[in-house]
Amino acid sequence: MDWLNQAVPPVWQWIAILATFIGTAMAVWAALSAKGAKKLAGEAKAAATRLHHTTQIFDLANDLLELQSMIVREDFQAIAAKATVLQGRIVRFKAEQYNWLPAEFAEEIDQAREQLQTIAENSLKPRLKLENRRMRIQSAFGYAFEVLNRLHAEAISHSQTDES
Amino acid sequence: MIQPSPPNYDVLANVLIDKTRNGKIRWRETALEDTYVAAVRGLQTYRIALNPDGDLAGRTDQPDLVHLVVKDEFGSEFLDYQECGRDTLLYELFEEAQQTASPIQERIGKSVDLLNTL
Repeated sequence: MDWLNQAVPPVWQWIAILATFIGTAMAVWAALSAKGAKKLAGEAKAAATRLHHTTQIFDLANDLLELQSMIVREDFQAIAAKATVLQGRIVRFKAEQYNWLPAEFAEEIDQAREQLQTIAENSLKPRLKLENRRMRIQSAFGYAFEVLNRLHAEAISHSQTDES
Repeated sequence: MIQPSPPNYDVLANVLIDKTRNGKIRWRETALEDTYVAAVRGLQTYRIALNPDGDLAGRTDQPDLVHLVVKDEFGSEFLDYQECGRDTLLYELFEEAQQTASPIQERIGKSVDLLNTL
C-alpha cells in the first residue's frame, strides 16, 4: 500500500475512501430519486387536470339538458339567455387548450358554438313560423348535444387510460 | 393623395367556393333560416347568410343580400362583409353552401323514389 499516505494510519484512510464511495453513490441515488419524483408529480398534475376537464364537460352537458327543457317549454327568452351562456362557456373551454383532445374535436366544438349562437338569435329575433322555428332550434341543439356527449366520452376514456 | 386599394374579398370567396365544391369544407344548417356555418381545423369558422335582416315574412329592402362572417379560434369576428345581387361571388358561395348543407337534389330523389313505389 505504498500509494497510501504514510502519515495517517491505513485503516482511517480506507474508512475515508469507503465513505467517499458511499457518499457518491448516495448522491447519485438522490438525484435519480428526485428526477423520478418530479416525473411522478408531473403525471399526477396532468391526471388532476384531465379530471377537471372531465368535470367541466360534464357540467356543460348538464347545462345543455337544462337548455333542452327550455326548448320543450318554448321559453324563448330563457333559451336565448342559456344558449348565450353556453356559447361563452364553450369558448372558454376551448381557450384553455386541452392538448389531449383530438384535433377533429376542435372543429366540432366551433360548430357547436356557432349552433348555440344561432339558437340564441332565433329565440330573440324570430324570422320563421313557430313550427319551423321549433324544428330548427331542436336540430341545432341536437348537433351541439351530440358533440358534447362525444367529448364527454372521450374525456372519460382518456382519464381511465391514464389511471390504468 | 393616394387612395388605399379596397380589400380583395373575392380571393377568399373563390377559395371557399372551390373548397366547398371539392368537399373540403362541410357546411351545416343552423337554427336560422338561410344561414349556414362551416368550421375549419378549430382555427376559423365561416357563417354565410342570405337576407339576414329580413322580417318574419321575409320582407327586406335588399332581398339578395348575402352576408359572410369569418371568426377566429376564439369566436371573435375578424372579417365581415356582404354583397347584394345574384351575380356576386358571395351569392354563388351561398348556393354552394346551401347545396352542401341541405342537398335538395337528394331530397327530390327520395320523394321521387317513394312516389315510384305507388
